Amino acid sequence: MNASYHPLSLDWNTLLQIVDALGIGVMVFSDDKRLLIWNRWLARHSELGAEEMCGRTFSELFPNLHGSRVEAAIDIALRQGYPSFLSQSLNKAPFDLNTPLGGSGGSTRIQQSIQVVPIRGEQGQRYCLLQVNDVTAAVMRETALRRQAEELAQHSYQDALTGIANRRRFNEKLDEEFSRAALENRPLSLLMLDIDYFKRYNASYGQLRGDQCLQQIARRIERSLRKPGDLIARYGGEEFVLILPDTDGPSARKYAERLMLLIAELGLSNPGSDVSDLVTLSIGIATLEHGVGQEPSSLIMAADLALYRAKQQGRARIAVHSADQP
Amino acid sequence: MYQLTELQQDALLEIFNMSVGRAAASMSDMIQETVDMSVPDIQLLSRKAAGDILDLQGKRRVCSVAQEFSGSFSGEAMLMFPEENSLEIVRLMLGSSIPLARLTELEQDAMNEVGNIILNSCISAFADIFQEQFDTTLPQIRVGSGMEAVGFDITRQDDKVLFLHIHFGFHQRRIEGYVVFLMDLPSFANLRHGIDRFLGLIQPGNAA
Repeated sequence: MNASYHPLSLDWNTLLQIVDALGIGVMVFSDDKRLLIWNRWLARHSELGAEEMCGRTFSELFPNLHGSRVEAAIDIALRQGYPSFLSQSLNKAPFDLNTPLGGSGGSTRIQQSIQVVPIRGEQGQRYCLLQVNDVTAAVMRETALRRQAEELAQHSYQDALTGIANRRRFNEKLDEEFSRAALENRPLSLLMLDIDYFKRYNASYGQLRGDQCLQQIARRIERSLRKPGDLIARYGGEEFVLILPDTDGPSARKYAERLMLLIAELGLSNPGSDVSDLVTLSIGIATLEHGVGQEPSSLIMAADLALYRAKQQGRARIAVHSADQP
Repeated sequence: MYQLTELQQDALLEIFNMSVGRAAASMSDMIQETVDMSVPDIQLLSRKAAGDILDLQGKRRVCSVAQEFSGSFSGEAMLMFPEENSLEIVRLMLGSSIPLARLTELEQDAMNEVGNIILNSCISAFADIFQEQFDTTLPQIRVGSGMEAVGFDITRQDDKVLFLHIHFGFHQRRIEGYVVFLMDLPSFANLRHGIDRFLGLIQPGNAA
């Protein structure tokens, strides 16, 4: 090896310059936890210079990190000689390091991942090296990624036209509520809704007004929901379905009557209707009482049968499924 | 040939259980929730056998966190989980709701930290047995096949692997993983001597 390239030819000052030039934070502590090195990157992001930091102990410098995982990792390095890795996710940003935002004069806290490494001196004395990496960009990237994934998940459960839950969401929710009702021995009601003479409404006003009618009705029913557990979903064309947990037959009926009123109050005229001047609903109700029932699909079928009867009996009315009626 | 006696195995189990107990305590502090960890069994296997257990003959991906260690004997310590278990651990710890298919960069960092805590505690078990200092590197995370993780190499078929089952319990869930120590035969012989000496220290009558 060429003698002039030997590492020992680097003097202490040159080494310090190298440490200062690094694009990460570097701290070194002695075995009594006094700060020996505080590089320029740290000085820049803390606005605290090495001259005011070095020589003081960890607890003097960082009283709010007393008993923290960072301090424990330094102790492990100094006492047992083991290195530690501190991730941003599990430790957030322990050190008060900031990046100026530019312009406005504000600043954001740097998100940190930290490596704590024991160093043994020539005479066997222990030191501890901390490397602080700025992972702010990765945190922002993953936050954006997660937000996108959340939106995506939401869209796959949403009806594109009305913005309420779609049939897929309905199926999952019904499965959940059905097993909860069976398990906790509580009632569960299902309302199947159909807009009367909706095809004639479309024929009178056109598809666009038809879509607006669906949106208005969906929004009105959604606003009328009583509990966070209630769900309205679009079941098909002009058919909607409501899941009402903890709701027995009489309460479900009362709620259905209220829905008929609310829709009448919207005052949407339907010239093609044989039963009213306004848009009306037919509603079928089925209730799972005291957790007794076979499966979610039989509850759907029961509500569907009741809806069919409501339509058969002249529309704009409510029919309730009961076990003795086919 | 190179096997562990029942007494040696019991001693190792007890020491490792104490060590992972300490790791569980520091993880509980970190996430403010009770974390249990235990080592139900310990085996000595060939690299090939260990790789087969880990990736079910190439059918699953494995997430491993590795640290090299050196002292009276040296080798590599690895914490390994089937990838889906590592996803579950990290997401239970971080409490994130949206499941992405793979570990993200920051989640890998979190897994690396979990691995570091557990491996440091396991290596400190060796330090307890040998009453000496072991050095170890920073943890390195990898995702790949089990064979890749244990570095199966036909020319080193004789190498033994100390294979520990590890159970994680939190959030009413039990998640299984493995801690694996890769070492060569001389290192393994040193380990056995160390255990015998340790047994002699604590039970003078039973010194092997």
